[in-house]
Amino acid sequence: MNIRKLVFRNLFFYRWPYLAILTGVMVSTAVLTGALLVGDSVRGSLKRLTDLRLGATHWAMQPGDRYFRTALTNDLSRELGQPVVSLLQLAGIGVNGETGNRIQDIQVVGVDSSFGFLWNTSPVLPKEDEVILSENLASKLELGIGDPFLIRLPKAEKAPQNAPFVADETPAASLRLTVAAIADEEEMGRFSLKSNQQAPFNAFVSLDQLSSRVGLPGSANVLLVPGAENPKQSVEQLDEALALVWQMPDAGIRMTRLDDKGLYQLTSDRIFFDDLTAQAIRERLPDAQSILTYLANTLSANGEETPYSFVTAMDEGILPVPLSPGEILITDWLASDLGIRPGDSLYMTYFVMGPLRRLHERQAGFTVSAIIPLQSIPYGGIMMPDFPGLSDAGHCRDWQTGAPVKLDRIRDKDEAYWNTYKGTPKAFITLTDGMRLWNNPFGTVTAFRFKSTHQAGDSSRSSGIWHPASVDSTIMAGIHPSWYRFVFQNVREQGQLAAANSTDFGSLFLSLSFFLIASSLLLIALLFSLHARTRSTEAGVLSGLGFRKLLIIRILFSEAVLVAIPGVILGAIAGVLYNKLIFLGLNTLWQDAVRTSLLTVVVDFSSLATGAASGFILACGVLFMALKSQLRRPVSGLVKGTEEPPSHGLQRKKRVWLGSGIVFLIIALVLMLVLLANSEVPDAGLFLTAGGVIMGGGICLLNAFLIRKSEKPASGRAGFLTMILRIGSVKRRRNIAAITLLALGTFTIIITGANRKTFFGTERDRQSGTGGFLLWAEATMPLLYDLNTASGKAYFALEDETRLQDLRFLQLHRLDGNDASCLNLNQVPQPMMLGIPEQDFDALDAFRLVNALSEVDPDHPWLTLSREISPGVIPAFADQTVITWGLRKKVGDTLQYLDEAGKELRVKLMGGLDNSIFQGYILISDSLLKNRFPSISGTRIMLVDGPFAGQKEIANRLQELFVDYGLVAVPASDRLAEFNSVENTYLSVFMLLGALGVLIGTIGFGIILWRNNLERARELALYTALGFRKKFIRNMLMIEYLLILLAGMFLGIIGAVAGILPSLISPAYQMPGGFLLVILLVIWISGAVWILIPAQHVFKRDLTQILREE
Amino acid sequence: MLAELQQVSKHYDHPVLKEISLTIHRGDSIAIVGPSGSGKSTLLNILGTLDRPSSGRVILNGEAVELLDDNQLAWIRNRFIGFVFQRHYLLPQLTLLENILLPVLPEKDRSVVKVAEHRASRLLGRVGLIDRMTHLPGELSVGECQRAAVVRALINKPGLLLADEPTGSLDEEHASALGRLLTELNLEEEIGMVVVTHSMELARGMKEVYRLHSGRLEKLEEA
Repeated sequence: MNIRKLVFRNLFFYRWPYLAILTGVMVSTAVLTGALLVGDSVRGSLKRLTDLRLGATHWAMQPGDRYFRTALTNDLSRELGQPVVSLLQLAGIGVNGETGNRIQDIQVVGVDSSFGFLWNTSPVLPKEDEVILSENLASKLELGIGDPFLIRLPKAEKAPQNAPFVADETPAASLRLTVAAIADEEEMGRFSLKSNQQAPFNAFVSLDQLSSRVGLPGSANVLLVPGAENPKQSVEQLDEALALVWQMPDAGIRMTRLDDKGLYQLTSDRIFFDDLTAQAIRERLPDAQSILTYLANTLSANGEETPYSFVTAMDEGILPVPLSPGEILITDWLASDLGIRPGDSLYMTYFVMGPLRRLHERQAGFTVSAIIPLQSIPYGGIMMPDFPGLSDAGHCRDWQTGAPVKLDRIRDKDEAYWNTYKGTPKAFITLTDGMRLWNNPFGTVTAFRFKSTHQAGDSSRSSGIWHPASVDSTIMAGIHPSWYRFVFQNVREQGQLAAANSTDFGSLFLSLSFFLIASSLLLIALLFSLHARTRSTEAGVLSGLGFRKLLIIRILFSEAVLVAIPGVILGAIAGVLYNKLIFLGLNTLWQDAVRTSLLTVVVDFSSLATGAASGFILACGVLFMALKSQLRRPVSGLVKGTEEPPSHGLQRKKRVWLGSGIVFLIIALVLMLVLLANSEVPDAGLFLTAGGVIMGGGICLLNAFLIRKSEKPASGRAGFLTMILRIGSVKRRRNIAAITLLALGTFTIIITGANRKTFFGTERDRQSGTGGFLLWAEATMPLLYDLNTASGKAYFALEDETRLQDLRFLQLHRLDGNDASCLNLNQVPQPMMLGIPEQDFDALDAFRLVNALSEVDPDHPWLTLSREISPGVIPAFADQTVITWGLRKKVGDTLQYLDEAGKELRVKLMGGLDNSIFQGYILISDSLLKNRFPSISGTRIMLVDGPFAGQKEIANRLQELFVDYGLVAVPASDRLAEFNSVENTYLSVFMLLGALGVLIGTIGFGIILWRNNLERARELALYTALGFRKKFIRNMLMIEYLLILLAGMFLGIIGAVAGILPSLISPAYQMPGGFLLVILLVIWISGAVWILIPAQHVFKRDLTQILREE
Repeated sequence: MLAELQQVSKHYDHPVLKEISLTIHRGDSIAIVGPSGSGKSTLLNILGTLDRPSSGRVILNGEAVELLDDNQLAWIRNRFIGFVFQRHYLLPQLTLLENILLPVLPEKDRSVVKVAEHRASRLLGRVGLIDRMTHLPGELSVGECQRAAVVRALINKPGLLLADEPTGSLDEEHASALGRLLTELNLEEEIGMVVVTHSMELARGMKEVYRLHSGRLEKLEEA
């Protein structure tokens, strides 16, 4: 016999209690490991989704509304020596050609055969008139192969739609196609460049067909580079390669030869040259002359008017006549029409275009400096930029200028002028004047003119004259692709990073499983301490035989460790099952929290090992503590199995507990009264604290009460209840521990259940998360006009909609990007930005900040967004949830963006909004957004304000009216509820796992009672000897234990009710009472069962034998 | 001198032992009698280092106990003292022989263990349990178990044997047999023996009998 043999002999002998302990260790390790594996699995699943959505793509260039030649793909491919794929990706509306059912905001992807390089599965690619749908889209619209499918999408324009004089019509292109195939997740069905686990609705069509139908033949707006050939390639190398092969048309610059004498003109597809490009052209071609041509509404003098004339601002040299600021040079046609001479005054009115195409008419006065013959203007007909809808019009009456044209003002002579001279300017001013008057975010030059030599091969500048062949390379060397957002991003790395840094479900489920882990650990402690208790005599005997205490502990602890080892191994395996159970819940019941059903279990060995090791350490720690506590008694006491002599100073302890209890209760009550009296919106956190303090105070008072009961009674005879209480007071500490456990469990479950986010009745409050708005609307195609203006209403034919007359629309510009809301599990570095009309929000005092920097004016927080903090740094708000969880940032941190011109833009988070409908967005001032991203045309997001009566009907009517724009309008409260559903799902999980924890806690409670019975065997034997009937003794025990259960639950409920008092007294609050009641009932029943079992088994032991032994 | 109590007192919330002095020599056999709750077991626990006195000194094998730490006390209990309790407290999971050899378990020296094994066989033969040595306690009678507990107490050849109501759980026949065994072993092993008992028959078998009354020890008679 040696120690090892003794340990194994003990293990075998006490196999049943150890099996129970092993089960406890297994449960706690399983929960721990399972929670860690959830984290791995979510990360693993998101990484897998990244692979599914990107295929072989590593790098992508997405310049947004900048289009390039598809031929650029071949040039770049040659330069890189590897395949490059180009796409035309647009948002559209998908319609089932047979049923008419439609789905908004689908992703229409124009692809060619090169797209197949990205997928290992060699997917079927669409031919002309064919479409390949993603599984989810086909399923949603109930489409199968061979079915007709209709796509509606906006006709794309190279010119920004909100640039001056760009046609305001948004002609929709539509494609009628036949479903050729349905792409599943493994093929290309999930293709998306956005880091989001939610599957996009994809429709793949022929690139040639799509680009032609939207009016941009041979163009694309996305470049993809697969990584298989050269995975080590950097974005810098790609950007450099692109800079070598791109050409002027890719930058939207066109060169036109004007004559055979070497005169050339540069124009921009975007009408205006942006400032950076204009500056570069001036630097590279110093002799080039700038032209800025604008449409004047009226030129008037001497009471005479000439309508709708082009006026050109220009550098000197284009015309032979000198011009000074304030002067205007007019054609003889205009002089004749107005009857003016040099020296006369001439007035010009013109439109300046604001956001949402709001037009402001301005006037400027000039002095006529000279009159020149109309024929003397060199190439006057092409001085006018190529305004879509205007320059190609056959008649003035066909003009589509994006500004109102009063047709009755157009005279026959004006029509004749247009027919003969087209857009030849009727007047000229200096470039300085033109830039001052017609300044706009898109630029102040519409053309450059320069001279070139005719000698081929001459690539150098000679006497101010350039060879056209060298101009391309000269200009391209001066401009940079990044100015046009032609920059590559390592989307695979970003996707994997976003997945790796995604919502930490491991920690989340560890927290959610906290009660379960704590309960199972407590169960282990109770089981082991019960076991150690039964072996205390053995420990005492060993001590009496001269075993050192350490050796005794070693023996018992070795047994525990040997039990814990298989416990954690089995627990780790069971953890995988627990993980699978959680995933089953997440993919079905709790899908609101993850928004995908593609989460799969990923077992990472390191997490398995970490879970097992943590479970082992925790279990061993708990077992050791339990053992130490059991062996703390003197050896003589251990041998006899008696308790320590009653501790001294009970009177003092009673006073301390009583005093503490009273103080706690007073503090809590005062705090609650002050909160209720002094604030309109009581601080929920402080109330919760008060609730907790009340519960603590109650436990202190109960402790004091039990101490008092344990004292000798003043009168000799005690009643039934008093006797029970006196009996209960003997095991005071143990009973208080049981009560505290039950109280805490009940408190937590109620608080969790009650904190489910509901806002019924508060949605009309401006300070609520809806801002008091009626509807949130999102359109697939941008709305270019202000719906609040008469012209806007007229444009969208809303004038006769009486129901909509009381509505006010807040149209918000959006910078596309990734969704940073809780609906996206990936961590998003650059979320979508939303331009906020801060003045309107300030006037409405809408929404509420929960966290803000000191610079934010608490009375007018929205006005903080108005101004740049410093050059290149703009202020922003976001939902606090987004800041904390979506971005993993805090208020005061900054986010990095590139603006439209490729310049760095830093966005500083100045404040965090309370849970709102803006979740997922970064909110900045609309004017600052437009300033940095002038090309954002129209609005896709709208907040609708108005009377709440008929809310749903209004939403439906708006959807009908804007059906071609793919508008989806939902009550703002529905949108908020969707976000809340995520948090509520987490709370449900927490409540369920918490309840499971409390249920395990009630098993522990049963063990405590079992232990009580063991220790009270002599007392119970005495009752038997005194002639008490078994039923009476059982009832006595039941009542005693039920009192403990009741006290625990009662204190928990009282504390929780106090904690959620502000919600309870709010008429708007809806507590999920039924659900809570069921959970509390289950806990009560479980507790009662665990009371009943030991009470029923109390007479299984031969109590008379105990008496005989006595 | 094997052991000595010098003015030993013990009190919990009331005094239990009052300035008790007692000297035990090799070959002594002392019985302590007294009413229940008089502090007999407390006195024995203090003498056996299972408990510490509130005041006074305990000297064992020439060493003052209050100067020793828990490990040294454990060593003293293992090598110098043999305990027999009212109940046998044999471990149910071990055979009789294994129970008897339990005090040798911490010993790492194999030769010591060998010697103990021989001694166990001899003592088991002496108490008539040699054919029961591989049995589990559950398979033995209470008397047999108690005899085995006595052998266990003697396995390390202690100088001092302390027995707390050793016959308390036995019937009359087994009680007298155990009393005789203890007396014989006292002579054979030349050990000092202190027995706390209610049994005057057992007490009369000892050389000295003391009565503990109101916390004080009074010598009754010489055997």
